[in-house]
Parts: sequence; C-alpha cells; structure tokens
Amino acid sequence: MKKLLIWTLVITMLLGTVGCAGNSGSSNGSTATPAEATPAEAEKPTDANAEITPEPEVVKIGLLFPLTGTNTQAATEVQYMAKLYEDAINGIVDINLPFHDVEGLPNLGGAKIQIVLGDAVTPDIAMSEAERLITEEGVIGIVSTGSANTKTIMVPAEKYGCIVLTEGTSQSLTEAEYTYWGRSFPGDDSFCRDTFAFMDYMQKEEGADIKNVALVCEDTEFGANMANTLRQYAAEYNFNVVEDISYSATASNVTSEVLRLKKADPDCIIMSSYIADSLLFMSTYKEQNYFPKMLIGQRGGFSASDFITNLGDASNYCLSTARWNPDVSGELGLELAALFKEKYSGGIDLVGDVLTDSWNIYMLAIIANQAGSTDPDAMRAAMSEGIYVDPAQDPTGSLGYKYAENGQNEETSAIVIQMMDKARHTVYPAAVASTECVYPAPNWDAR
Amino acid sequence: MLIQVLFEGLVMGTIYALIAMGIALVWGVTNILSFSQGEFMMLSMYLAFYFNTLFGLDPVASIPLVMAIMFLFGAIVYKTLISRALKGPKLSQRLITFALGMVITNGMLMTVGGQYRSIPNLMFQGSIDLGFLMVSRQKLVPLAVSLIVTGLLFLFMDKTKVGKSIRATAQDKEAAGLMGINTENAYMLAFGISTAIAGAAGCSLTYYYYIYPAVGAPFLIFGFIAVCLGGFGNIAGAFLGGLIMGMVDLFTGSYLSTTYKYLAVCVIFMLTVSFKPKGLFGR
Repeated sequence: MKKLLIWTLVITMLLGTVGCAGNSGSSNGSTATPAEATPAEAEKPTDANAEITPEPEVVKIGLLFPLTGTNTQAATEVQYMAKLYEDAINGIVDINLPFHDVEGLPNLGGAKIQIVLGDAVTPDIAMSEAERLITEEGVIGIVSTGSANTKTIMVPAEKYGCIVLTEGTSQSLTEAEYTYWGRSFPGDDSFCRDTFAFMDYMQKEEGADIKNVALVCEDTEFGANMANTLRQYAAEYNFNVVEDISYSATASNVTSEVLRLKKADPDCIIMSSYIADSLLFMSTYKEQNYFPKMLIGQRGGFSASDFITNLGDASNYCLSTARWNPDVSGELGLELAALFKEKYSGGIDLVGDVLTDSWNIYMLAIIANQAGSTDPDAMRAAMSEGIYVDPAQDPTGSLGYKYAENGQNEETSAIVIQMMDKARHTVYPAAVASTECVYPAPNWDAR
Repeated sequence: MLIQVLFEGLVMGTIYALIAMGIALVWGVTNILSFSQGEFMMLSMYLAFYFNTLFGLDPVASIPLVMAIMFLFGAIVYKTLISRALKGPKLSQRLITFALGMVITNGMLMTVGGQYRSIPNLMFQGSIDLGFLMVSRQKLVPLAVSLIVTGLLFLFMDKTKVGKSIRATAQDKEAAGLMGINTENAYMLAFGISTAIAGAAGCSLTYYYYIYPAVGAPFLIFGFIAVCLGGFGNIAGAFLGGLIMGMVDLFTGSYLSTTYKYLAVCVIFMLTVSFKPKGLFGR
C-alpha cells in the first residue's frame, strides 16, 4: 500500500512537471499562447532579400533580474515599474509617457508590449535564461542589471542577435566591443570622475577642506572595477588615498575595516557597497562613534530603498552618485514617483536605480518603434543614429540617447544626491541641484 | 586599538561559537551535519522581528520564547525528517539538512520577500566611551547571551540526567540503549537544543545585524570552520574554535589587511586539520 502511494505521488509529480513545462516557458509564467505571432517564429534575416515577416500583435521584452536569492528587493521594485510601463504603453494607465495617448507602438501596427520575466540570480543562470528568452520567448530585447550578468547574457545575445540594455557600469563592458549592447546611463568612469569633480567643486566653491580620501570597495566585479577607476581619478584630481580597503560583500562583520578607517581618519570615504554591507558599515560606524566629514556611496546599497527605510535619520548626510532623482526631472518625475508609490509598489518609494534600470524597457519599445522594426540590426542602427524621446515625456531628465559603437549613451551624465530627513536631494551639479550640500557631516554624538 | 580589537574579536568569536556549538552538538550526538543551522538562526531573527513589530517585545526579552519555539521546531524537524534520513544512506543523512536550509531560505524569500529589516528602538543602544575602548551596548548583548547560553548548556549537559543521557548516547548509542536510555528521544532533544541555541543566536544578532533571508549563510560557514578547529563532537572545542576565529578575523583585518582576514581563518583551519585532523580538542 505504501509503495503504491509513493508511486502514485511520483507519477503525479512527473505529470504535473510535464504539464507546467508545456504551459509556461518562464519561472514566473509567460502568457504567450501559440496563436499569437511572436518575433521568435520569424527567422533572423540573413540578407536584405529575406522574407519580410508580418508585424507582431505583441512585442515581448525580456526582463532579466534576480528573482531569487538575496538581491530580490530591487528586482521586485523593477518589476513594479515594468508593469507601470507596460500599462502606459498598452493604454491602460494615463501618464504623460511616450505612447500613452495611443494603444501600443504606432510604427509596429499598434503592437502591445508584454514583459517576460527571467531569473538572473547568478551570471550562469542569467545566460541560460537569456537564451530561453531569445530562442523560446522571442523577445525583441532584454533588460538586465549588473556587469557580471551582462557579460554572460551577451553570449547568447551576440550569437542570436538580440538587443540588450543594461546598466552594468563596468568599463570592461564598453571595452568588450559588443554589437548589440547598450547602456543608457553613466558607467563607472563617469560616476568616478563626477565624484572627484564634486569634491573638487566643494573644495573650490564651498571651501571644503578635503585632502585625504579612503576607498572602501567590496571585492566582486562591481567593487573591484570601481576601486581601479577611483584610484585613477584620485591621482588625477590630486587627492591623497590614505586607506584602500577591499572587503567581502558577504562579510559577517566589518569591524576591522571601520577600525582601520577610524585610525586613518580620512576627510572623505568613498564606498562601493551593496545593500547588506552598506547597512553593516553604517551600523558599525555608529557603534564605533565614527563618521567622516564626507561619505560618498557609489550607488549600489546607497541607492536602494532599504537604505533609508532601515537607517532612518542615521542615513542623514550620506552622499551618493546617482543616475536620477525625482527632483531633477520636474513634474513628470514627481508624478511618476507618486503613481509608482500609490498604485504599483505598495508604498515603496521610487529610487534612482529602479527608475533607470527599468527605463530601458521603455527605451527598447521606443527603439523598435523608431526603427519601425523588431529586427536587431535595424534597432541597433536606430540606436547609433540617436533615439528621440520628447523631454516632456522623459522622466529621467536625460539629455538624449545616442549610443556609441561601444554601447555607451554619449548624452548622459551623473548627479550627486545627499540623504537628509529620510529623503534624497540633488546637490550636484549646481545646475540641477535642488539644495546645497550639508558639509561637514557631524559625528554621531553631535547629531 | 589593540584593546578595541581584542574586545571586538571576543564579541565576534562568541557569535561564531554559538553557531558552532549547535552544529557540534548535533554532529556529536546524531552524526548529522546541520547545514541548516544558519537558516534556523535566520528564522529566529524573523521571529524576534515580528514579536517586536506585533507585541513590542525587545529581542532580549523574546529570547526565552524564541528558544522555546525553535526547540519545538527542531524537535518536529527531527521527528519528520532527520529520523527518517538516519535510516537511509550516509549521503542522504549528510545532505538532508542542506536541502532543508535551501527550502527555508527560499520559503522565506517567497513569503516575506527579500527586503532588509531591522529592529528600531532596541533596549540597549549607544556606546560607552572608556577612552581606550569603545564598548557598543548593542554588541554587549550577543556577548552576554553567548556566555550565558554556553554556561547553561554546559550545566545542562553535565549536571542534569537528561544532559547525561544525551552525552551517553553520543558516546555509544547501543550501550546507552542497553542502559535504558531512550536514544531516539536523546537524538530529538539534541536537535531541539541545537535549534534553540540558534534561536538565542538569532535574537541577539538582531541587535546589530540586518534581517534578510540569506543572513545565515556567512555565519554557517564560520560555524563549521569553528567546529572543525575545535574538534567535531566537542562542544567546548567548538566554543573555543569560535573564539579563535573571531580573534583571527579581527586581528588580521585590523593589522594586516581586510582582504586577507578570511584567508587567514582558512589557513589556520587547514594547518589545524593537517597537524591535528580531529581538531584542537577532538577525541
């Protein structure tokens, strides 16, 4: 009887697995049905005389973010944003974003967009998920995050020809000579240069006494690349690096790191950290009653919504480079942030990295529409010529979108924000600053 | 700085020791490697968080309650899962807790999400500046809890009938059975006590660490190394192994380089295993 029960369970599970695999191609369920025409059903044209395929009714855009593992919070917020954009393009929600006044993409026969999810918990999984999205789901492009993931995703993307837009900031991506990759916002080089330009500005315009800096970078691709670039610009701008710390992002404690910083006592600490380690550093700074006159994060954990949520007023005076802040893009940015918070995210604030990571979904739709085609080469050509986005409908406040041969959008720049009273305020460049930078930051016992 | 590093090393060491003692206890009695010890600690952190959010209980105040819940949880896990695995091949016995850990972590990610959480308004906050030493009140909590739990564990294992029966079962299961000890109960108690220790560790860790589903993993690895250093099956050895690791971690990071601190821990471990394969205090 027991054996019969076990065999019945095993057969039921096997049938269930086969049934699920037949219905859904993705870990979160794709809603595509065989009846809908998808770009995957058309062969990638190999010459100019290739058969022209009919315009699709649905255009699929792949979203490859860590859906499992520890870094899911940002991915969850990006999904909320993706849903908002899907609704805006498909005419479900009315906000002054591109295509909001028509349903679907006008140059593609009114095709609606559909977001298809894939898990990018590790670079290896991201690669296999990218292959699935391209070959089975027929996405016209993929949006993802992280430099390490980008490198593996580009393997099937280059092989099959698929546009990939990511905000992986590593310089190695622009050096890799990818054909189908693009980055819409600044990379490490820009962020590091703008960090030291900001410090230089504070010295010259605000009389800040900043001579010695400490670099604190986690030891994966993100931190290691940032460290190299920061050292280069520190030398260029004549700042003295008094401490250069590399630490494990999964560290169980950062006490020795903070003790070393306290001993070195730099004027400014520049950190490249993820959320867990940035929070750990902040709590350890507080324990040791130590806070530098200036602390600048390089996005990562400092850009995460959890940073202010967990630290509250303890996040005051922290600075970070950023791609965007609600106060730089006028009414549309504020309206979008409010819509996101009220209708899509269950009360979570919209942060810069979530907006800029997800904006690439919209960019793929705009690129395909402008190209009048979902062919990857046509889309890439349009990216090189320049993509027009009405500034009144661009919440990112970007100056434009023209993707160089190395994939970098040449018309973008970074900002510096300061956290104060549980909000982020743009403090640099002066042209877009909403408030002045508070310097120097007081120590914990003086707050 | 030396005194500060010594103090911080002691604090970290006691935290590693708490994890290590739970692993050592389970291994010593049941020969099962508790790969899910870090996840039990993570569950305890969430319990402490929800007791604080719903009932305003400080994590220190919720330690007895969380330990009791985790003990029951451990006993149920033993009865439903571990006891059955013990009848199977050795490989299944080794991997069952690994699978359990994955289920717990991913289950928590699905149910509570990946958002980082912390407990505001802790009972003990701030630092005491002694001039030569900065003592964080928050770090004193895991230090005190670790020492108290360790003391209670030794008392229990040494002075109580139940503790002696667990030790007897660990030494020789067959002989213990012949002497009238219910060895199955002894196994279950050992597993339950191990998860209760993880409960104490989790509650005290909420005082300075952030709560998220994967928080257990870094501590688990150090817990295992501490057990290997101290000697498998030796709870006192595991405690001392944890302290050694805490000191090596802090001294290497503070005086050599932060890049090498985990390398140093692993080198010490490799040397110990090479020259004393059963650990420093292993039998």
